[in-house]
Amino acid sequence: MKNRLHGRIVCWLLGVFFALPASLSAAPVEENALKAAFIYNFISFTEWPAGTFGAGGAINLCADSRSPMASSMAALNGKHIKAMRLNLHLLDSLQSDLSPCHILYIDRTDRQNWTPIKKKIDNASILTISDDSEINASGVMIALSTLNNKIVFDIDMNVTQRARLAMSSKLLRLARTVR
Amino acid sequence: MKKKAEILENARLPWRIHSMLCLLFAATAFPGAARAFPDQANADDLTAIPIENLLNMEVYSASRFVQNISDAPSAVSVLTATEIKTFGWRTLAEALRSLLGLYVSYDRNYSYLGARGFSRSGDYNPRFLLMVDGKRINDPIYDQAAIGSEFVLDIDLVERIEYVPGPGSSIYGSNAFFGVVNIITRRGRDFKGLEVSGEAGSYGARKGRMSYGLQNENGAELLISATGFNKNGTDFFFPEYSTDNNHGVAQGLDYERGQQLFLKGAAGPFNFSLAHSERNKGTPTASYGQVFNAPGSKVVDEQTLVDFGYRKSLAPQADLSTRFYFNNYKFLGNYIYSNAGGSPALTVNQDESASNWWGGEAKLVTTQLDGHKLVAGVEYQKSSPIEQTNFYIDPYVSQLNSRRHNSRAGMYVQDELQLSADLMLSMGLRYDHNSANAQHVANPRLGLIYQLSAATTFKTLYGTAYRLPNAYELYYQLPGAGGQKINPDLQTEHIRSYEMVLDHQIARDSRIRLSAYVNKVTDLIKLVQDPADNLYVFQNIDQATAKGIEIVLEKAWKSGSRLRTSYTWQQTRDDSTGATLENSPSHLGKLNYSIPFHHDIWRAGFEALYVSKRNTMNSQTGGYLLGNLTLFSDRLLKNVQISASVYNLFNRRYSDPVGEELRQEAIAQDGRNVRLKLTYSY
Repeated sequence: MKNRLHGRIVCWLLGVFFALPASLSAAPVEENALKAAFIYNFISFTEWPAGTFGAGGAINLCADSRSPMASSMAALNGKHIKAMRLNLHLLDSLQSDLSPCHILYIDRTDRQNWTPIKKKIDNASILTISDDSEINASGVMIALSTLNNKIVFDIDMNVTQRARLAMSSKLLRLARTVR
Repeated sequence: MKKKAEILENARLPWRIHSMLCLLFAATAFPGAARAFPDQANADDLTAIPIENLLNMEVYSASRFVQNISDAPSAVSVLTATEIKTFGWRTLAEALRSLLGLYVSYDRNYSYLGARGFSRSGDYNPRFLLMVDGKRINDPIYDQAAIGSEFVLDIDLVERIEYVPGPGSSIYGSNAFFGVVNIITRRGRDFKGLEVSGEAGSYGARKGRMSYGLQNENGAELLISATGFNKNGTDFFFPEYSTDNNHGVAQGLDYERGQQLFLKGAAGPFNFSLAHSERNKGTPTASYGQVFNAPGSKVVDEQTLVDFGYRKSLAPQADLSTRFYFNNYKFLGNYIYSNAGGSPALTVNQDESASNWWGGEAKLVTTQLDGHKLVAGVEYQKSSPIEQTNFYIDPYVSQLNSRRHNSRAGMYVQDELQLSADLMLSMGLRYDHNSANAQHVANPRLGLIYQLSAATTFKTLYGTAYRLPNAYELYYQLPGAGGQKINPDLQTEHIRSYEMVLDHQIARDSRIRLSAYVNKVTDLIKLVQDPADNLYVFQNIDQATAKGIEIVLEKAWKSGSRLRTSYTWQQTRDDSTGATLENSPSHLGKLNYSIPFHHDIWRAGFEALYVSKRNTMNSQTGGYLLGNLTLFSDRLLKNVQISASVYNLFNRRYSDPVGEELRQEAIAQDGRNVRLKLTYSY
């Protein structure tokens, strides 16, 4: 008897929950697509040292071709920021030459290689962005993470300034933490 | 036996009708809710949206599982908080048994983990190292890895579970014998303030939790959480006791209740944590020859763990972390025996053990040398006192009063050496000294990782591990017939392991891993009866060899569905008799599939677990296939997470082999049961 009552309660509760209107929150978007949009914004709100881009130059965004973000970032390829074309370069390995890169996106695909990569960049004016918890904790300029199903980002000003990059006050204001 | 079967049959039919009605009702509810949902924005639109608005958008993750674990020197498995919710796992044991090669047995007191064909029921998992945020929590008396409801944390506070199979003593020292389980907990910043959670389930189970987490603008963070749980449990019929008290039905003795408290903070380079738990579990099985169905038979486990850590960057590529800890573990067991004609008729035997253990460790990780990743560390742990007592309460008779001390010191070094662009050598060595039996142990580990292509990695691993005899095995004694005597001369157990792993990324969203291993275990500690005095004693007498093949496939689809499925074949034999060990299934199969539905508002997680037949002490248990289903949503209502689970969906009757302390060969497990859970964040 007790068992049966149990089942009935579960059944009704289930039914009621399914029947509740689903319009209470906006449609969620795919995480990597949203992260790509953030990357686009980070680029728009960052100033590189004068003379970084030659006349008619392009902005080069580099990432590992094996990165789970690769296909989402492809949507950014060919977009224009400050009248310059944004080119996505998917590299076979981030161990290769990074000097043409203006932005480097790095995630857990290259977690193991982050330290040598950091060493190689060595204060060059490359905006580094990551979404990996370990890399985020060790000297990346903009750290993306997910908090309660939303994207948040933290900025490390020390590294950014050493690379002679300037970020707009708007970006700094919207960051969860700036240090 | 027959009586019990009838009851079950009768209960089955109405439930079926109900489930059908329920599904119908739920199905009719779908279309009404569907209309409210707009089309999803694509990536192109997103760049046109102001960044302020992007911050407010909710996300779902499509390809999260593509991780670079193929580079790790072992075949690491990771379970996330999302999977814990998706599959409705209520304990660490339920989460771990979904992993490749792992299986769990439960004797209605504790849960026992099995790996690579080894699971010695009744010995509290001393051959697994259990860590919380990288800190060892096995106690110094039984070296127990507590994975059931006796685990120190609420599983809701777990961010990630990492399981590293194979010997890990080259870094972690004793107990990292068959594998290492590391629990990463959630942080203050992972909460947006207050979170309240409540759940209710079959067998009168209920649980409540309240947590508060925050992070300030300087990055300092704090988490505080308290949990209480209570379960009435079920009544059991044990045919072995059918001519005994109450015709073999144990009534009201399967209850469990407990509390857990967790406090965790970090500010700058400092971090701090405090965990406390207490669990009471009734013993329905009349273990250790107790009077059957006697109220008051129970076990109580209490743990307190306090930890301070400091982390400093010595140079851009060198990190030093240090920590100090103080822990306490207490066990209390009440066992009911008849008082041979005296008064009162029943007497309570109380078995108690308690220990403080404290220590410190320092670890340095550096990548300053090109092509090297060097890890080096030192550790010291003192357990003092280690107390074990046993006495009858009324009339009072003391049987054991033991007070000991123990310390361990260890140092280790590991280097990951990049030999060429596609070849990495991982070498590790740890040296330990233990005061209890003045033993020195050195454990090496070697791994060669070869990147065959961007998508394929091949690893060969060799390692050894050891386990020190614990205080229970060394110093526990009871007088009289069937009693037990101490054996301070016990030696350490050893394992040598050879493994090959092939990791292949088939496509962006799918990967496959194949592995084969051979393990040789020597000097296994076993409880035997000494013919000279008929007393039980622990001795290093067993040797065993295990070999096995494992395969796991993971795949994610664009639609958001995910699959992880694995199969294990293993053979674990006693070297002297050639017989397959007890509680060692030859085949294990697992399937975890989850799929979003109803416009991604809900996610359904289905889990299937197969365990083939297992030897018990004198007989066998049949194989079983178990199905569990969970429906989960965190989008139905703002700030609310809801889940509904049915465990043992097909109401399979199955049993787990148990240890010698039980007259039963195997203990029946739960039939179909349910849980509903609601979590609200402010």
